[in-house]
Order: sequence, then C-alpha cells, then structure tokens
Amino acid sequence: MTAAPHPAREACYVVVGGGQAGAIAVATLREAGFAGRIVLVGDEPHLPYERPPLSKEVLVTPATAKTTLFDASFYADRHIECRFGVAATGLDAQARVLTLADGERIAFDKLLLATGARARAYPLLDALGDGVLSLRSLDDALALRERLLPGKRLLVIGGGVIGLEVAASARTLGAEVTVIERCLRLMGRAAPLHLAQSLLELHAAHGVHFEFGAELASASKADDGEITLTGVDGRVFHGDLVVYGIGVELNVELAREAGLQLDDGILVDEYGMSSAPGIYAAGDVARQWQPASGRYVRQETWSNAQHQATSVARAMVDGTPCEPDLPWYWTDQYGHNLQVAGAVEAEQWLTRGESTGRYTQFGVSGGRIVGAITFDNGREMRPAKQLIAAAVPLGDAEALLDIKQDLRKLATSRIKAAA
Amino acid sequence: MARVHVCSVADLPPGEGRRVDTTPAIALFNVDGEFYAVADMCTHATASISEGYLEDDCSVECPIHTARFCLKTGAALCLPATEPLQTFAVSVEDGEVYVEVAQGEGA
Repeated sequence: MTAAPHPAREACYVVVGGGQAGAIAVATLREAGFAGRIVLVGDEPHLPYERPPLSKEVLVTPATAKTTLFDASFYADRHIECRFGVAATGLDAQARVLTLADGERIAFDKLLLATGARARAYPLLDALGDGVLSLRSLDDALALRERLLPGKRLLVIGGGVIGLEVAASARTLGAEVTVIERCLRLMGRAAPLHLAQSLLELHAAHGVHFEFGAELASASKADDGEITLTGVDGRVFHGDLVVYGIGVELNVELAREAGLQLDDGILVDEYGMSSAPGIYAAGDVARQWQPASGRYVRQETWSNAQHQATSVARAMVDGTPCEPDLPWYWTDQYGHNLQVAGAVEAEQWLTRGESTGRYTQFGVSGGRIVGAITFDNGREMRPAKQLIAAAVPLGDAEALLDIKQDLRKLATSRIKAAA
Repeated sequence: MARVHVCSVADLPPGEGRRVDTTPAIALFNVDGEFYAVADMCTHATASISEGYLEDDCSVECPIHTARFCLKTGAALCLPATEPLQTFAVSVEDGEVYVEVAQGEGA
C-alpha cells in the first residue's frame, strides 16, 4: 500500500461521518459538479438518518416514522461509495490518507470531517447498566422504545430539548414522567425564560412532574430493577427507567490526531477549511469563522448540519465562501410545533396573535428585531427570519403585531424600506 | 374519482393555502388566482405543506425543514426532500373550489 496519491488517479473527496451533515455533503458535492471519486464513511451500520424523529416519531409512531435521509440507490445512482459500519481510525493530514478500522487506506485530495458528537456520558448513571439510556443514535431510540411502556416510571435527567421531547413522547405513550433538572429552569441554553416557562406549563398540564435545582449524589438499582436516585440535598427519586440528556461530547479524535486546530470544535474558516489545507469540517463538530460578526460560531442543530454541509461542500467544489445561517431550531411536543430563530437573549419579546393559540414572538434588542419564536405558526418563521437577517428596526410595532396584516408582505416592505 | 368541495374562491385569497381533511390530506393553494392541490404531508418528514411558505415561482417551502416543491408538478426542488408530492386536479365552478381525489379516499 502506498500513502502517496498516484499521480494518475482520479481526484478523490472523502466525507467522514454518516449523519445528516455527511449525507447532505456528498449529495451536494455531486450536485455542485464534482465528477471524481466520492467516499462516505460512517461508523454506524445504518444508512444516514435524521436525528429529530428519534425522540418523537420513532418513539410514539414507529410504524410511520421515517428517519433514513436517502435510500441506498440514491448513493449508487450518484456513484458515491459508501463505507457504513466502518469507523475511520487514522487521519494523516500531510500525506492526505484516511485509514479505516478494517485496514482500508483511502488517499484523498480533500476530506470533510462531519463526525458530529456523541451523548455526554454520565458515569454515575451508566454504572447502573440496563435501565439507563441516553438518546443520540437510532439504536438508542430503538432501545428506549422497547422499554417505554405504559405505566413505567421514567426519570428524565436534564430539562433541555432532548429531555423534554422524551418526556412528551413518554407521556403520550402513557409512562409516568419526572424531569430532574440541575438548574432552576428548563432549556437554559436554547430558549428565553418566558418560553421555558410556557413549556413547563405545557408539560405540567400533561402530567409531567418537575424537580429543579436537583444535583444527583448517588444512584442505585435494586434486584427487581427499581432505580433510586438521591440528590445532594437529600431528595430521593424512584423509577423503572432513566434517560439522560446532558449535552454532548464532540467527536474530535481524528481531527486531534491529524493536528488540526481545535477550540470547542474544529476551527474552520469561512470556506469551512480547517488549519490543515484540504481538510474541512461541517456540522456539530465545526466551529466556523463568521467574518460579519468577527467570531467563531458552533451550532448543534439539524438546520446547521443541513446548511453548513451544503455550503462547505460547495466551497470544496467551487471555492464559494459560506453564507452564515441564522441559528434556528424546532421542537415538537404534544403535537405542538415550536420554532426558535436568532438571538434567544433578546432584551424584550413582543407577541403577535397570542389570543389565537398560535402565535409569533419577536425578540427585540437595541430597537432591532434579533430573534423570533413561532408556536404552531411555522408559516410566519420565514418572514420573521428575513426580518432578523436584515436587522430591520422595530419601527411601528403595532402593525407588526396586528395579525390582520400579512407578515410576508410586511416583512418585504420593511426590508425594502430599511435597505 | 370523487370530487370534494373545499371552499369558496373568496375564502382562499391569492397567496394563501389551506389543508383539506381528505385521506390523505391535501394542501390547496391560491397562486395569483390559480388553484393548486398537492399532498399535505411532506415527502421528507412529518410536516403540513399547507402551512408552508408560498414562493413567487409557484413553489411551496415546507414550514419545518425548508424543502421546496413545485406546485404544478409536485416535484421536489431541493434537499432534504427527494420524492415528489402527489398532485390533485382542482376545479372551480360557480365560485366554489373542488379537488379530485381517487375513489375510496375522501373526507
């Protein structure tokens, strides 16, 4: 085996990571006109799938849940070579060779790291073995689904997006649910306080019990499988099943071995290129330079995986710099769709259409619209995002909050006026 | 084929869409006076196309994952969707809008 690329060999782009970002990236490489060899490497045996349904449809309506992004023929039709179920174990940035767990060595011209993240481990709980789960992969979701039965007592550790979605799914399935959160509020990273409060009320109305300010001191499991968790303040929780969602650890091992610059993720420029020429990163694992804001930004969202993978793959093919994407995510709980875009730390929030049960909120800082929330009102998210992206002054708030006014038209005219 | 009455023309102004509770559900749109009907369920994931964002080029953007579909042909215009939406014939008679659904389906 030779490490040096053969001078006559076909140009080869490799994508490491078989998740949302990896699959979208290989599709985009072809769409953008790259005609050489493309190899997609993923350590899971499954075809690349989307994660959002794992905490929702896969648990509640498994018969109709759809997670696979593209079927096998999609890759075959585009002559994309797939290596699923094989981990990438070595990356030589100088020689530009990737080594796989089965010994295959792939010489590449460019490589994209879309290795993502894994659930942050909780050793105190993991030590209990069966009955304790985290939720990151499809296999995790399938294991959870098997155990989430009516009447089971579920302890959810962590009141973030994953924890709340699991709680909602578990209630829908008839389990008893207690959410145990270390902080004094829900969604500390992802939502403004008033929204966290609305979600708390929604969950409470569906019978979820909450314990705040609860830090765990010990965990034990009885012979009959009952799990007992004890808080540092003496609170005691009993359950049949524990699911924890306490954040992620980034999969940066390959990048570290290759000597790439790391700082809360793989640092990449506005083209998505790391400190090693020819090696790029996208998705959860990438922290990208944004020239407009003058800072590095890393996002753990479906939207970022989708957008960044698309734009970095394009940059790999034709050298166009990436356009920064507005932070945006959604969550579905108890049949309600909630979407959040832009800055969650806005000074003030104004509500449009609250009385209708479906509403849009605008986050305002320094007299400009910087964030938006839609509750069962996704159709207004697009114009709301346009208002944020254009940094439009708030102006006549009354008109903006009048649901008789079409937000689309309003956004178009305001953006025009501000330009 | 069965014909399902949806609404009056006046009930669905240009630029608007609405869900028709047939089985499967249909999304009906008014694009500058022309009516188009497609399957309401996005082919990519669980999302209601009738809630989508109507573009000027007679396409609709899914409100959840921003896949776009051509309303005339149902074709998926961008990722993450790859499968087309089913399309349905629409007729307007005496100011009333109807969609055509296969026999055995319907409200």
